[in-house]
Amino acid sequence: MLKIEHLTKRYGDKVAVDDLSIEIKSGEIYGFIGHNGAGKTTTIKCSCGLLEFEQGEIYVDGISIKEDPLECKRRLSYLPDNPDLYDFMPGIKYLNFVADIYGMESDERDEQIHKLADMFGITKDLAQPINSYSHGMKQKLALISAFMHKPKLVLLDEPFVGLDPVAAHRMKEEMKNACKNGAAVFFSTHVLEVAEKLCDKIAIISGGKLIACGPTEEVKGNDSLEDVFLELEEKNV
Amino acid sequence: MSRTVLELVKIKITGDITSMISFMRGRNAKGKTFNVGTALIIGVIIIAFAFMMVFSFGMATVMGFQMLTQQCGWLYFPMAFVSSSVFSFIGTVFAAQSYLYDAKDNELLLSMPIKPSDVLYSRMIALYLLNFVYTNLLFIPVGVAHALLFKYSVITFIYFLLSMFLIPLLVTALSSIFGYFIGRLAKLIPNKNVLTVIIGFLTIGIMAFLVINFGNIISVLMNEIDRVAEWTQEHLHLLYWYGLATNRHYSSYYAVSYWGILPILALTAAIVFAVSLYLSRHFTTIVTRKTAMKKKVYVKKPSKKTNIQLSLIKKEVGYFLSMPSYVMNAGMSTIMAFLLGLSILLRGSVIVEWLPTFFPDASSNLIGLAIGSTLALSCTLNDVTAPTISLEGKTIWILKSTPLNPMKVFFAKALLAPLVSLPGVFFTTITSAITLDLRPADVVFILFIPILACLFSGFLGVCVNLKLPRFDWTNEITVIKQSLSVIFTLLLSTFFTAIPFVLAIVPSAYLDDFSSVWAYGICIIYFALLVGLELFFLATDGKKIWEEL
Repeated sequence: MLKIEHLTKRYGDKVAVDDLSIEIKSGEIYGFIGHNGAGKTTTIKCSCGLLEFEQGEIYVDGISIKEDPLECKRRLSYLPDNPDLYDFMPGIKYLNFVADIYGMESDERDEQIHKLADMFGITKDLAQPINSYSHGMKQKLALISAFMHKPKLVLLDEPFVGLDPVAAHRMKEEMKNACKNGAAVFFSTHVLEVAEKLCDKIAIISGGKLIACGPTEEVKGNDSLEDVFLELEEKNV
Repeated sequence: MSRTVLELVKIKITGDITSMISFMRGRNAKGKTFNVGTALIIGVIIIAFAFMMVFSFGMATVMGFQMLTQQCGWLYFPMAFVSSSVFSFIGTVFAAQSYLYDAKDNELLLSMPIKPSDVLYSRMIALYLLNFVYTNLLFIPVGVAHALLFKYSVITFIYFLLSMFLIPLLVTALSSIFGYFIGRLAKLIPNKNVLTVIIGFLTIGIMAFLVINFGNIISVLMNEIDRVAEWTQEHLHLLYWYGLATNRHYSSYYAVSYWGILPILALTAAIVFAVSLYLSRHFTTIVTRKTAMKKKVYVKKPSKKTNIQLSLIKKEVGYFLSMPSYVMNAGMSTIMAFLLGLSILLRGSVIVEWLPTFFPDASSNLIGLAIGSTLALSCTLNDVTAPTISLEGKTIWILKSTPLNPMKVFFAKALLAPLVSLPGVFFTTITSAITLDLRPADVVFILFIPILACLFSGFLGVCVNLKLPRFDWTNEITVIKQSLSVIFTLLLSTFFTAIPFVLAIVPSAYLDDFSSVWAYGICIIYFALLVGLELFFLATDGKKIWEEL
């Protein structure tokens, strides 16, 4: 569903991502781990067409993001680490706005919005303007907008930040549901326990380079993911 | 004054200056600085300052001369005291709200081991410095004019210097407490955006009235200066004593001529002390107070699918209406269009009589052109689209990560300009059609040419903002009011809109068989071509710039 081939992205002289290749198949939950500034956000932003890149190729469902970004974007949804939303809109208007962009039919959007809003416990707040929402509520609203149009690929940057334990649990369930229905989820996180339990595959990035990737069990072996991550980081330094 | 206060003042001033300079330095989409724009903004600021000072000097000279003739020279400084106080108060009363109570770092500072009063005083000092600039734009030229007109005395000079510092102090205290009450009032009203827009337009209306009637006000003052002096002497004792102290030779009483400034000084000190004491005691409560808002509960109901373009336009309109400062800035064109429509309704015959004096040969053909062009020019004051790309700010990821053709985004933003101006244009078209003897072609022109001009200026705003976007703002007002994109759009759209009308109206004065229908056609083709060029830019370079943002 997502194929990143030899991706290199520079900011001026600084190489943020260096020759990175990953393939994420339908039905997989793929965790992306790395220290601050390792290149996780840059990789995700390149994958959803937010950032242009110098070398390499990215394919979403077999379509090149460079050649046909709109077609790729129709198949994916992206959520940044700190999603700023349109504060002046009521929550429901924001969700309808996103639904309009993805061309969702009325019945489908009502069903999805109500199902997901009930799941995250914010249905009653949907009439309130977003500027009255707490950080967690904004995160929940952004998650609803990311999942409601049933994308084939979900790209999430630090999705657990700001979520209460119940919401975090429900989000993990939604990620699994999406994958059961054939979608692929690629997300970055610092919460290694979550990555260890949730992900089918894991990629570890350090200084812009991929230092490990593969099925979670293979990457961590008999150790905990935390031990493996710290060891790899140490070696790389 | 504690070191903390000084440190906080330093941070505030440095922050404000850095932000101002940063916004004055134009920057293109790739982050390169744009020196022509910087020079342009600095030039505009210098011209505005110089104009204010020259104007103030001129007024002070005329008034001072009249006072000398009428033997009431003592009124000179009291009048300067009142006018510079009012000017400074109007200029800073809304800033007081944001400086003192709505500052984004208030809660952070209050959570630190800093006395709340120190935080307040640091804000008040920053506000004082702003008032100092406002006050002395008027007061310094007044002092210079005084030195040229009146008898020089060292005491007058000392008192003049003292007043330079005293007036901003009084205004700071008054605007601080006034800002506090305005804030409290706004929190009691459910839809404060509407209130802010109404207050804003009322203030603009009052200022416009004062500017329009400035000549009359001054002439009344000049003719009645002896009565003003008499009334001040009888009712405003503090100002009278202040006047005698600053122009000593009008009083034979030693105490008054030397120490007459003391009462006004004492009153200022008392007001400053009382305001500071009250606000410092309640500062934490004021800045952390939250009014319980009635919560709207969402009830599940079927939604409606909307076309993407319409959905984007609705989003732009929603954003526009959510910000009073945005509405006031861009809505001026609508107000002006309404005023034009109203004046046509009330005084339409004057226009019909006035035109032949300038264009005797072609006057009957020119009414439509004159109204349409005035309306179109007033619409170019609508700079609503010039900050619209910058205003996406941190939410730009929403539009960029979703499957949206950038052209749809540009269209939605550009259409905001005609949408904002439409009510005024419709109103003026209707009043013109009712009041004046117009041909159908004139009515069509009056309706469509301003809409076309708006479309042109709307797309221009998007193009310019794509070239000069700013995403590093912390307050929307900076991009709405101060950004280079807005200034460029206003200048360029006025210039390009004026060209066809000047070219159409001038020959009409010399041609006997001038047909305005030809001019209408040329104007329409001209604007259509400009819009076409803008669309070409957006479809090529504009799309690329959008992708790089």
